[in-house]
Amino acid sequence: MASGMDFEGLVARYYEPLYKFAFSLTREEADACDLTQQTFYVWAIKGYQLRDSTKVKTWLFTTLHRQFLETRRRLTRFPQQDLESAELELPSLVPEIAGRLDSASVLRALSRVDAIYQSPVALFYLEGCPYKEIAEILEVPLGTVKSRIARGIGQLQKILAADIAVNRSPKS
Amino acid sequence: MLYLPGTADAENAEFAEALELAAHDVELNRWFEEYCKTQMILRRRFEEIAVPSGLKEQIVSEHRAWQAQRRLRRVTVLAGAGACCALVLAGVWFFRPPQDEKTLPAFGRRMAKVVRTGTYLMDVETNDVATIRSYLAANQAHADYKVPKPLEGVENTGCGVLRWQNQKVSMICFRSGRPLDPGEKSDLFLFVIDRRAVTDAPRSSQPRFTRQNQMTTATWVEGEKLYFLAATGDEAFLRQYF
Repeated sequence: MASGMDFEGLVARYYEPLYKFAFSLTREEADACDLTQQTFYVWAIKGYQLRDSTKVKTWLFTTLHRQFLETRRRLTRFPQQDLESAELELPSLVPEIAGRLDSASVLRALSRVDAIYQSPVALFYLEGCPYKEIAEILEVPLGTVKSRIARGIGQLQKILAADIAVNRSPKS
Repeated sequence: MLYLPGTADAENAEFAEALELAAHDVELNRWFEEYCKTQMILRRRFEEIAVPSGLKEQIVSEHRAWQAQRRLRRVTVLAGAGACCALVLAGVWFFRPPQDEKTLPAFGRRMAKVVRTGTYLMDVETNDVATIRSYLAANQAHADYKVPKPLEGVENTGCGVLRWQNQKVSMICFRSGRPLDPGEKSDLFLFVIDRRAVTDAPRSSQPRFTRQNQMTTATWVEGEKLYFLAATGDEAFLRQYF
């Protein structure tokens, strides 16, 4: 049973990726620390309910995401869109330009992406999760996840390219 | 747009046709290579998010504090619930033949139960033997106890002073090195009491092994003291400390 997993071992294995996910959403170290700690606190109380130990990672990320949403005003739900019908533009962010960006610039740009796309985009880049896993973590249908990632990446890259063009985010 | 290089996407059937197409179209291949490089750069930037030092330790220490508080709450709740029962049982207890309560089996059951139910609380948490002895002496408990040679090398985790039949019992806790349950700090417990407090105390300094409340115990006498070593596990585990 998953509840038999050693707590400290669990913390050692997942606290860094959880913190990075939290920080990508909050952009505040204190808030990200709080979210991460709160996630493990919830695990201590409710982790015994998880019977499949292979789902621990999904459980933790889902819990952190829920905690994040509870501390933020939830935006109105976007209707699900088919990937083919979404307005996708090829980004103008080429490697030579992207290489001039630092982590802070990318996260600032992510904060300007539509809020509903930020979580899936962060999971897409941070964990390299399969789309099915991202859908489980965010508790949305698979098709919705794919469309949100696609649109989110499109927005992110447009914002970054625009920032570079006006020299808003020089490499530190 | 969703393809992420360096991940399982390369094996994903959804992308197989597109990858094949890109491999045979110069313009498309050029675009695809640029796209992959850009995605890898962005991925690296996310992974470069710095994690504050000490966060892991903070999470673990707060969890331990929470565990200790929960244990104390349980004891408090049980104590409160048992108070009413204790009043009723007090009369029965008072009239019980005292000899039955001062036997070695009674002592062993009580100490094993303290450990097994997790109701023990160390008064002092330390791995320093001198600190342990100092605390016990300051509380008029047995501080000049002697442990078997193999047990001398085992890490101490702390001590406490208990009472049994109005006698002070020194409790010295150890950590053998076995994996412990979350929140647990000790898995080996030594109790020391005046041998005269136990009516049928053994006379031998050779340990006598028994099973008590799902624990294996060893009892022996040395000088004026009776020693009781308890741990979960089998006799072979305990014998290594003699």
